[in-house]
Amino acid sequence: MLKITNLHANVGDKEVLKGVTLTINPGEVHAIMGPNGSGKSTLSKVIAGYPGYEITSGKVEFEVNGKMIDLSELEPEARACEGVFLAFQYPVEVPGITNLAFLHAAFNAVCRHHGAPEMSEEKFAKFVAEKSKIVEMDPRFLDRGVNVGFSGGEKKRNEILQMAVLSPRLAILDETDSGLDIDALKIVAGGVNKLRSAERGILLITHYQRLLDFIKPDFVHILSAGQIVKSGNSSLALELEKEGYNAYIR
Amino acid sequence: MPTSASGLTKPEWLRVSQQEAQERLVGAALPTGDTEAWRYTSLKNFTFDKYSLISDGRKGDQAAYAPPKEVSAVVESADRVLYFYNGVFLPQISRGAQGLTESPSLCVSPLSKALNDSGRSSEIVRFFLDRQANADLGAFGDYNLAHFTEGAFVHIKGSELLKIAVVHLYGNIKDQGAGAIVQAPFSVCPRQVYYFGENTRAEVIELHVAANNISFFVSSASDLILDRAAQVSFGLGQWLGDEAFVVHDVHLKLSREAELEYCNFAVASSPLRNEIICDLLEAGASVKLLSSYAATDKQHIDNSSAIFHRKGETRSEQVVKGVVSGSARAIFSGKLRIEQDAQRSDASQLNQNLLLSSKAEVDTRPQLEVYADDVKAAHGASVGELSADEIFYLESRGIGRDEAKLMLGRGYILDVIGRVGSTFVRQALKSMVERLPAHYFSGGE
Repeated sequence: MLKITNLHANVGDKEVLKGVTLTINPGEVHAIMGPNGSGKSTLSKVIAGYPGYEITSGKVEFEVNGKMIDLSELEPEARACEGVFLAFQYPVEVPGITNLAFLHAAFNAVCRHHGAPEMSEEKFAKFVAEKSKIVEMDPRFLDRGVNVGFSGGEKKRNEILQMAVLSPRLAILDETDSGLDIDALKIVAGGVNKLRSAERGILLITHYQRLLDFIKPDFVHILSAGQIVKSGNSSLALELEKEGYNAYIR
Repeated sequence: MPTSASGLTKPEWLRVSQQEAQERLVGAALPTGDTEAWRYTSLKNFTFDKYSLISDGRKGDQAAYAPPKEVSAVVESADRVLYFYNGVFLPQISRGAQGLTESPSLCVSPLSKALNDSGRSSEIVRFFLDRQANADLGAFGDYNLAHFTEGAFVHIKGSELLKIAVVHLYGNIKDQGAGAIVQAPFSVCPRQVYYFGENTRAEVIELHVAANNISFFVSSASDLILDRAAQVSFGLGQWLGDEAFVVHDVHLKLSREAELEYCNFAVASSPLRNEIICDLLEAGASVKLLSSYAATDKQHIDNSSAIFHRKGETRSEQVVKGVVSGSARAIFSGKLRIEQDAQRSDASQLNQNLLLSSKAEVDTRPQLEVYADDVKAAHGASVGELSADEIFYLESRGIGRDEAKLMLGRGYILDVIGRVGSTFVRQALKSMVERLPAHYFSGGE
């Protein structure tokens, strides 16, 4: 469903991705690990369409209605509507818009994109309350400004709640484990595990092996200096934990 | 009972007060660019004479007037509603108006009726208006005092929590004689007196809405008096159109332990100037003063406020936030004065602006005067743009760029309104923000 071929991308004038190739099929969970500055977050932002991240060569293709299309041709909101979801490393605070109104607007935008009827506010509130259970989130958070005054853990739970509501086909989780204590990590990982399905591809981006104790990946890739230097199964993460990144850094 | 100015026999004291204000106005100089308080709002093309007062013969057929749906929806949950059209009371569509003679604990009545009341309400109105007459009101204050004929009088003494709406609608005047629409600019001078007795609680919204883009001058004034330990949530909504010239004077007076949350949402006019004076008169008085605004095209909004901490242990929290696009201009000047007697007071002031166009302009002028040593006083001001991260966050959830900007812009304003505790007041102002068209947030250079 996602095919990245020899992807080169710049952030400003600097080339950060230097030929990444990766394929994710429905139902698979991939983890990309790598040291700081290796290009992990850049990769996630390029897929989601963050402005200013320029693809200089190579391709990111995504399956839409049975056909592989070039993602760079779609605006970020169209990518989201087609089922690409990015859980942010640093979720943005949006004062003045309640979490519920935000989720409702997003949900209805996706409905409109697919020509499906929008959901009424009342019905949606019930739908979200049900989804909140996946990340054990107090429904009162729905009436607060998006991420405003949320703790680090609450923000990450909120990201997974958004994922549950929007039900994407491809979910990219950018350092979802960062800044979480062990209890919060268990809740967030538990939420992600509940959202694993045969139709959904998941790309975990992480610095540490710790997250992978809770979300077991099918494939692990090591990203270094903008390239995938090694791929393997979940045992690669354990190896990495033992040997450190130095053994793989180019 | 007379319900409009045509039936008003003015009490002698008022006739004298108005006469004096009128005399002060003759030859009075308008503020100029040298007048500090009016530095950023030019009155170069303004004269009082440009606008004609609506005389009794030209009030039009308000009897047939129906409020716009969005207004009636907002006031639906109010216990009492007073409607005015171009400053004339509309008894047909108002609800629950009653004078003090009918109910000693509660009066929600047109001012004309209260003034003609031989009993208490006339005395109360006199008490406040006479005090006003002795103050230095400036030309605009005098204009309102000299010419007001109608408005709302609210007097609460009982323990019941009431939701009250005062709605001023404005529109073109049909000349009753000829049936033609009067196009010449006219002026309207509504006046409100709200008195909240000891230990009372109330939620009030005051709306000023013009039905269409009409060229007129609104000189309005409202006094809010909170007696000891009164708890009041008050919302002011203003949407008067591009052609309106608006000066709205507010005087807030809080006694011991009184608590007021006051929230304004204004769509700018040409110009709209809000002038608030807040007196924290006795210990323990506390005010939350919230202002929000949206301005686009060539609109101009000028929020001027002065908060006086007169006694100890008084609190004020002021948040002023707005969105400015096109070639609009927004001004905030906020004076915060903590008197020598006001030890252990706590004051904070924040002005934030979202500037969406390079042609738009914001001027912010905080002015802190602290004469007591054991106090907390903080202020801050900022002008910023929508961040790429915020827009992308919404886009990454499937929300298109234009809708994202609209949501973020409205959210910026709603962040202020969301601080209001009263659902009644909050919802009334929120519904206005939600009707703001997209071009207020698109930049529109």
